[in-house]
Amino acid sequence: MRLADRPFLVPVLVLSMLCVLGAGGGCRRDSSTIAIERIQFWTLALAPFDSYIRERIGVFEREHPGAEVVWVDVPFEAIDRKLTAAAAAHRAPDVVNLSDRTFGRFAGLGAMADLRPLLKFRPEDEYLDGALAIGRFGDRLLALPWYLTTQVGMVNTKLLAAGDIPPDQLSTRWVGLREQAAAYRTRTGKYLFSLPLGEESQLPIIMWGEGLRPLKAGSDGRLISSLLDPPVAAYLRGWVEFYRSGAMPSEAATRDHSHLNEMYQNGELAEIDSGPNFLKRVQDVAPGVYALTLARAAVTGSTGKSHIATMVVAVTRQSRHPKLAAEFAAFITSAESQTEFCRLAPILPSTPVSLASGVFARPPLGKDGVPTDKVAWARAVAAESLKDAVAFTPAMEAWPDLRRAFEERIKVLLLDGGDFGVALREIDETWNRILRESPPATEECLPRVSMTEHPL
Amino acid sequence: MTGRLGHRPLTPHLFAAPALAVLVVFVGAPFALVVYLSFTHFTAFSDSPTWVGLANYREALDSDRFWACMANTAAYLLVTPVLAGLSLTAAMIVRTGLRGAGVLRVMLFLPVVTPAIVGALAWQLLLKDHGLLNSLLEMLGISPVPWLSRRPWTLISPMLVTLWKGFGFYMMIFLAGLIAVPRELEEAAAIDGGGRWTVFRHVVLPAIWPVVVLVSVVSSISALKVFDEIFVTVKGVPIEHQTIVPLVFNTAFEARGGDHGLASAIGILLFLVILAFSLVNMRLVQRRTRRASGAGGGGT
Repeated sequence: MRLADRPFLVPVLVLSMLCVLGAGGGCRRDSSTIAIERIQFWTLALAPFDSYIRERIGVFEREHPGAEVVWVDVPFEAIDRKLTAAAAAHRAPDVVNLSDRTFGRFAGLGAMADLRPLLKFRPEDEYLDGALAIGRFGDRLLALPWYLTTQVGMVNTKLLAAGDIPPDQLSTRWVGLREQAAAYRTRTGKYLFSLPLGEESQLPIIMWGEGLRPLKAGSDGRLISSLLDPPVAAYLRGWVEFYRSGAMPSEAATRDHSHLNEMYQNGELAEIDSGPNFLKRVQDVAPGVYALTLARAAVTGSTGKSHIATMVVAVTRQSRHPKLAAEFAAFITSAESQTEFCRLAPILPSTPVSLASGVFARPPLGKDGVPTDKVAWARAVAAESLKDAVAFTPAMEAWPDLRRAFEERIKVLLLDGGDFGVALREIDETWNRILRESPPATEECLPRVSMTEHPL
Repeated sequence: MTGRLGHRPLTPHLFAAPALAVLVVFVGAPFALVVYLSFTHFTAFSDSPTWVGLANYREALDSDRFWACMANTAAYLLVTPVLAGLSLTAAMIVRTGLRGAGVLRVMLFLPVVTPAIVGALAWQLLLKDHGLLNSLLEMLGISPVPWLSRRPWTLISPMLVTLWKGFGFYMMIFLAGLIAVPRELEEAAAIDGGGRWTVFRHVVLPAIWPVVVLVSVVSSISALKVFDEIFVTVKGVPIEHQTIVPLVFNTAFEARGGDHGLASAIGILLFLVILAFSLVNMRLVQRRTRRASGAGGGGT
């Protein structure tokens, strides 16, 4: 085929090339006056707050001429894979919002930059100490705390009544709740509550609230596993036997926290502990269940302390503009930005200034004694529990690996059976191997929970 | 034709060049990269890969987890004969030209055009502890089955999704093969006193044998590479309950440190297994075809 035989091809090709060149040219900016510094900001499932995020970015860009923030929202369950893939291609975002669990994993991989030399202020003066602890790794600060979620208990009063349990008689301690759940299952054939035990297992988290420590200092001061210590082993055995008794749904071994939410809004669970924002979802997708729901303080261990789940904002080591990225991280987590965010979303702030802003007062009760705004009530309950809350997350690089090793083995134990003692010894050995291979960690890294006499 | 091309010896190469370029960029180069990475230690946040020789292969082959997943992958192959048998039966029914056969064909083909993730999610709703299937079983007085959490159901459940999804596709392939079989041959065999089964076994099956081979090879390879169905349906079960490709994914993106080198090595081992399996499969088929044509030649 000769081009001369197809005369229309020539102008089409020329036009196409011009379009391609034109498209490239369109991206070019006049950089003669101000050098453009473009940073990418990833958030975790914040698309519903599109206008808030865009407004904040607009303010930041006005305050920082030449700065351009490209915002990308990533689904919660995809962040691990997307960030890993982006980093492998050396295209990690400059600023990234992560959950404390995911953050720990990436911090352990050396993915995050130390913020201390990049910030112009002392973070200790701006953020709640318990929340800031998540990002502290020795002398380094690898993340700033953003919003917090302390769990709140939600009770389906109708399901509870079916088991003859008055709401005020429902235990607020895990051990007591387990006993009630076994009786409830026998009486109604339904489940009183559930808790992720395998996937994203809460066992290494909630045991801190019982005053139990899965890690202890060895003879040289380095942390070693204490899973075989009799009180810890007895506590874990109690949960495994409880699961095997059938008083918990099988999803407790294979699904993360999302199974609680799904089951509760489907009317399959009588009690769950979740963030107060979950109640808003129940209101939207299951108004019938919402009408029957009562908010109360979350279930805790024997210390009465609850866990703070913290969303953090970190700057990656691959960032080409780390200073600007750190400034943006500080801006989006500032008291001003957080107070405004708290007015829009049922979340809790990590700055004392925002917490004192009056957004978190309990709403008035209606004539029937039921709060006029259950979501605001739940948020107020969660905010009040902040004073007793501690992040049950050791600030150490190896912690995500320890949790994953625990989850992989405990899942097999829960689903395939086997000897509890053998499984625990295997986890203990794996933990000690991981701890030996990881940067040294001491008791300084561990959550500070006041110890009480354990009932077991 | 040859004469004209003879004047422009580069022309055929130029025509092939775009396709070749696509193959090199999107298949050849990634494959070469995976082979290289399989000899290195490389995580997402490593500055550059570190050469470790055969260490990743040794680690994979020494791991119980690898062999457990390999055994599950081999077990997953059981889906292939069932899939071939069901889709061939469906194709025979559709081919009879019964009233409503067209509608049936469309309905059976629908799962093929449904995204695998959507299908697997729908199946998850059906199979979960308090799902539709268990509710039906309970109504019949049968105890509920832990489809999504206990062995062997954690392998059977994704197999059901694979069957549902692949059934229509292979039915269409069989249908194309069956349409090509001359009706006269079947009629002649029937006139000679052959029953339905005899006609199928001695006339139809030999005629569509190449199609049977194609379906067997393609569906076996798909079964060895299964991922979507397992990832969505039984995500969260121990990795020892899953197959090799989910293990690759787990090693690269979820397990400690996101080890791309080890994941690449496992991927290459799977590639070698599939290659060996396909070669053996095709060699056996060729031998059978040769024997059949030899027997046919002697008969005539």
